[in-house]
Amino acid sequence: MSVPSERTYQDRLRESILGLGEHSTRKSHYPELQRRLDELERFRFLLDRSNDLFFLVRAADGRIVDANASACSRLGYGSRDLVGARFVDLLLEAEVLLIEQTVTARLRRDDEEPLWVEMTMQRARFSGEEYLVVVARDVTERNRILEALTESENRYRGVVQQVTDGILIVEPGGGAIEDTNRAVADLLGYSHFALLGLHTMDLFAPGSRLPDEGSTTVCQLLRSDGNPVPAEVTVTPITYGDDRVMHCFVIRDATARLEVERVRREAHEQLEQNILQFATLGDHIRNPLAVIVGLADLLGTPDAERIVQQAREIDRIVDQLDRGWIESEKVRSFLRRYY
Amino acid sequence: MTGETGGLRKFVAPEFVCGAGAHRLAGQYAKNIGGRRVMLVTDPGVRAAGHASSVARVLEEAGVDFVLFDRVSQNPRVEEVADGARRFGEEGCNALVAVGGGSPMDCAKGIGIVAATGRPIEEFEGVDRIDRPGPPLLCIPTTAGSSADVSQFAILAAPDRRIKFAVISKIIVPDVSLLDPELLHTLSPALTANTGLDALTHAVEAYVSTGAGPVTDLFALSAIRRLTTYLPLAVRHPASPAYREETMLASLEAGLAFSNASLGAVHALAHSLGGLLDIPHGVCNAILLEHVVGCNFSWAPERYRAVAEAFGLNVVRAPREVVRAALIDRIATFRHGLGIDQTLSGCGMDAGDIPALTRSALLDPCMVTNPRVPDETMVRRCYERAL
Repeated sequence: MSVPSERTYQDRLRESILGLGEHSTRKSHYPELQRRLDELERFRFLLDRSNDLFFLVRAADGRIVDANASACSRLGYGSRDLVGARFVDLLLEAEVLLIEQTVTARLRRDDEEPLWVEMTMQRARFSGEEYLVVVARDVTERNRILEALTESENRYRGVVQQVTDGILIVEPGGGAIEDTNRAVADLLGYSHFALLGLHTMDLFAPGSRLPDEGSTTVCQLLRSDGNPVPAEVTVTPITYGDDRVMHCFVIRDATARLEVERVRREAHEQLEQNILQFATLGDHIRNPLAVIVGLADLLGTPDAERIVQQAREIDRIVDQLDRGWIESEKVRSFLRRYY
Repeated sequence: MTGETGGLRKFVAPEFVCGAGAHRLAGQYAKNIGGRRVMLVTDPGVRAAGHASSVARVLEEAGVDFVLFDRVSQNPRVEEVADGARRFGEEGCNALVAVGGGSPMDCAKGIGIVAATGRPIEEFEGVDRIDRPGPPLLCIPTTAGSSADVSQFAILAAPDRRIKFAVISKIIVPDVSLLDPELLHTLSPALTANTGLDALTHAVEAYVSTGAGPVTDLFALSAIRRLTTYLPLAVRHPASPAYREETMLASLEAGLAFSNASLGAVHALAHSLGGLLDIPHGVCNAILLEHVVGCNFSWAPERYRAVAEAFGLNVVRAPREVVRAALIDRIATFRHGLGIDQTLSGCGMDAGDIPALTRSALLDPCMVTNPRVPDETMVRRCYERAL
């Protein structure tokens, strides 16, 4: 490796001092200006390709002094049409325009169709003159998506409102009621909005325990008039998009079901009683019948023979009834099992 | 042999207006160079003399907004440059107007570099290190000596390193200089002498520089002639507009010469000394000049003969040794006649300082155009003789 000699270094230094170095030129702002212009051109390129609409408005007269390509293309104007125009003439409708606040507005397109935008204005000062920088974002597509979402949500809400089971969306642990449907309001006698102001525990009779997550339990709920309502409550967890976990209570009125169960239980009890009475009926008949047969034998008359025959016929019938009791036992078991 | 470009010469000068009342064009020129809000850089002394307010008034009349920055020491420091650049940015300035001697003008150059690049001024120490021009700079000198208003040099102090360093680049040559001799009337005789001897040293060193050329020679010799004639008169008659104007013209000529031909050992030694002693640069130069001439003479005898003639000595056919002795004597007599009769020891220097000063001086960029390739012995001898 060769090391530059001291003289070579001195020569180079001398040439630099005499103004023959790489950067040593008479001060000129043109290269710097050119560099800035190149930067400006690059920035302008980016600005023109932005989806947002940019306007530079002179504060003194409200006229547009510059606008990016998106502003021209989305509004359908040429840049010559926009530059010099009053910005206010572009506004079809707007909320009160405030500096550094975002407002929604409709801008006038060249074809008179409105363009929905979200707009922000900021003050700026260039070369001693006041300007407003207006940035407008076309929200047409966003509004369309929002409408579709709203419609979808309304459909879903309609379904939820029309189901006969009550639905409560609540904070876990018996917290505040966040949403509900009409079935809950009808069952408990509250308005929809009154329910939204309550906590879950307000709907349960004193001493009731909240059902466990994932279980179905019959609970005593309280109507708005204080009367209890039996209800079958199923609790399931649901997770929102923001990772918030809530509980969904599905509530079914249990009044009718409990009434059917009561009637069935009473029918079973009556049937038990009837079968029991039926089972002892043979014995109650056979005892006097044996007495009749004995007495007939003591008579020793031809009629006595006929009495005995009739008594044996009655005994046969009682036997048949006994066999019928055995059949009844089978019926009762069937009823117990399936009803 | 000085390399492939050894025979090339370049001459860069700012636009300048010279004459009584030139400073009153400050507003017009500030606008012409694009100044919307300018930083007016000056120092407390110039401010006290009323020159800064005079220029401020002119700017106001022209409707040019300005910010005053006067925190500039006699030897401007790197932290003052940083402070000025910070304010330049904070205040939204876009041009510089420097009013004063070498200190405010060098500080303004530094502020411009830092403002344009965002980097500390120390990074530009040396030659041709700046690749981006600073904001437009308009200079209004109030002394006739430093020639910072036309030069590619900025000399700054780094007190923590106890040195003065040079930033050298054609790109820091100011845009405009308004040379108004009316502003010299407040200069004391001592300051007139100090600054005038600084200009004389510029002219002598530029003429004997290995970077000298035909154009710089014209300015250098003319400056020597003008100064040897008019500087003593300006010191004795400070109120004379004619003498003041002659010294200002001489300073301009010397500045144009040294900015393009560069300097030599006197300035290298003085820069090194300036980091140690806080004494006026012109005084350092004046003390050292005759001793450096003595050391250099044999390496450029005919150039020195021309210098001697410009000093008014009739040495056309004199032997070289006679010329050498006559010139050294003439320079010494001249400075003593102007009241500069100090020695370096009288200014606070000690013989023990010489080794460190020598090392520092040998690294100074001004050394590379000295007619004699400097070595340690030569530098040490110069310091010892001036002690």
